[in-house]
Amino acid sequence: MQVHQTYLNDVLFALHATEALDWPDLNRTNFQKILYLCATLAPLVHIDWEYNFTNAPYGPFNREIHQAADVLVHQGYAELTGLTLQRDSKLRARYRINSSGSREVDRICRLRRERKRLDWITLIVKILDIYGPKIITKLAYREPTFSQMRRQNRGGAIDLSPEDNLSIRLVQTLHDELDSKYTVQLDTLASKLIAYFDYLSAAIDRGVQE
Amino acid sequence: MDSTELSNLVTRYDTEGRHKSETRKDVKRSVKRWVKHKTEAMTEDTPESEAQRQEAELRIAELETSIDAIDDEISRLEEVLEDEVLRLKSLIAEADQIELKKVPVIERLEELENRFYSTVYQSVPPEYVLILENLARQGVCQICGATGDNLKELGRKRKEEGQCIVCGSPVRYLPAPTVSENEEDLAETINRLRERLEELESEQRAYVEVQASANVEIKRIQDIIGAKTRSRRQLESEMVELRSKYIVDRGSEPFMDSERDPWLAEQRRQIVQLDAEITGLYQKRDESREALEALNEELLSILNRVNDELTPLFSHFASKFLGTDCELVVSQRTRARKPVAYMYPRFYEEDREQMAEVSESQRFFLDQAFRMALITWFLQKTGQPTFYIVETPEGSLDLAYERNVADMYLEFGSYGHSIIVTSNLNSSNFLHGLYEHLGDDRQDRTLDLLHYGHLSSVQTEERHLQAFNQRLEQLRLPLLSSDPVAPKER
Repeated sequence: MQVHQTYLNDVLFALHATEALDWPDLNRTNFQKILYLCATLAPLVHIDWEYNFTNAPYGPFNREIHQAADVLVHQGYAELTGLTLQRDSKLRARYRINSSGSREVDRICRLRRERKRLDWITLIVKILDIYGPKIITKLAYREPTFSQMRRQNRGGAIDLSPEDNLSIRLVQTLHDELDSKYTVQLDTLASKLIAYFDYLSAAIDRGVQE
Repeated sequence: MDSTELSNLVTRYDTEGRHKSETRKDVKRSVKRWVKHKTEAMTEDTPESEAQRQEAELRIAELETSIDAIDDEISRLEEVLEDEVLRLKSLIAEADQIELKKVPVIERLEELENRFYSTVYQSVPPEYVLILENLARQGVCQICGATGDNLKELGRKRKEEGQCIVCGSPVRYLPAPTVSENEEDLAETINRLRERLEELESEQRAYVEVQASANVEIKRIQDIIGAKTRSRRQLESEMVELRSKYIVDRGSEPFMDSERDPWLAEQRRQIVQLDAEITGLYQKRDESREALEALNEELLSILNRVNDELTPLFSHFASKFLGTDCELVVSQRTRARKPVAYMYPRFYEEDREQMAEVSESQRFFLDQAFRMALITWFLQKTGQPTFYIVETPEGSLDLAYERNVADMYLEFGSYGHSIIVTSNLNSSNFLHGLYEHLGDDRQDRTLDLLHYGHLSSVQTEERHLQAFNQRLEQLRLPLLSSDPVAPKER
């Protein structure tokens, strides 16, 4: 197996989570952005994300994640819902989990560590569902750590370690400010995440969602 | 000289040196008071040269007292620093131990996860198998629809040589793995190992945090020592400058004039003598400490050598009691800046360096196992068995351990040593466990004090007598009679 199981699991979990919310399918960019947002906020739930993303021209990118969906198709856990070979020889593909993939998710989640990752990816996807699948990429672009790298024109791996993770600092700031200035208490994980994504999405043109 | 004598010498010279140092401080304070008093007593009629001398002398006395105070403080801080550095070293060693504990857990986890995922993600996808098998058996290419015997040949070749049908790279073409073990059990084992790894990582993080705070503390103490040393240097410079200036102006040191006063001259003489004595005592203390350190190193190396033979024996006896393997660890710690070599037990993968890390009964029987190991080791060296006396060992035991202790003693006895055990007659399984192995000569090997002692109503009253005899019968020992004069039944 060329691609390590963690990448395959995460992509499979992303497909599983979005299917439960009736999203029709996902493309490779969606996987990158969903899993990047999951990785960024993972310190909130003390999950060690294990792999990094780099600052690429089209946003946060991980090569293994890029390849994982195709491996899942070959393994028989996902299916292609659309495949286009573009003039520039690039393949545009969309993916959906199948029943065999859903069964495998249950099997894999006998491992508690994987169950925790699935629950986390599912929670993030549920909150992203509020804003709609179409602005996921924009949300990932506005993620503060990545956004700062872009402003500074820095390349390479995006450092998401707790001390350099600006998203975690933003969540904490929102929590503290809302509490001290408006006595609004973000006392659940979901409320913190919604406040965070509300803040990120505030400046995004709502017309994109329609 | 042995370790205890050297250790006592270090303490003695250090204490004597400190006492002398306090005495010297007292003398210096007296001098300072005397000079101050004399300076205050000066009047307008005092010649200017005398006033200058007095002022210089007073300032020098003040500087000396301040330097002494700084020296004391630096010496105290250096001791704290040394302790802190040792603590840091010990933390680093403990963190390394955790890293070592992680290695087998990670390896096992990787092996089991690979086994688990081999049933989830195949080495080659199922459709590959379909394409290859159709090619090799039917001579049909499922991709483009071509057919022919040459394709059969190509398929067989690719399969036999383990080459990918698309690019020819090596590929592990294996049939789907047969799951021989219970997948639930495998997942549960992985979960347990993962938890263990997370525990170790959490411990490691805690150590890293403590190490960071120890480093901060060390840096803080070093900074204070640095600042104090700089202050001391400034005071010393001032003192040298003052003396030089006085010599240039007057042609002699300020104190040279004061030698005319017999009391002050005596104080100065005492200070000089105390300086020499303190230096001598501290030198002896340092020499003794060096000798103690050398001896301790030698002791450590002997203990390490002995431990290779002693640990298996200790574990042999201790495990009879604990129900798990138990090792001896040789280590060194520093108390009052003196090194001490010592050994402690380790079981269930935990080092038990402190008394509170084992229960009271574990402490008692680990001690016994250690003595038994030593005796057995001597037996192996000299060929001479010996004897072992223990008093009422069943006293502090839980029910579950009573038989274990009996097994431990029987095992020790099997080496040919004699054991003399006193025991109360009670409901303990300990005696039963011992007597089960004594065979027919149990009476000859028992000194039954009930048989010789004066029995009171505690033993002879009917209801007590019955309970006693019931127990004696179980042990197949002579029964008690209600008539203390009558001969006992056999």
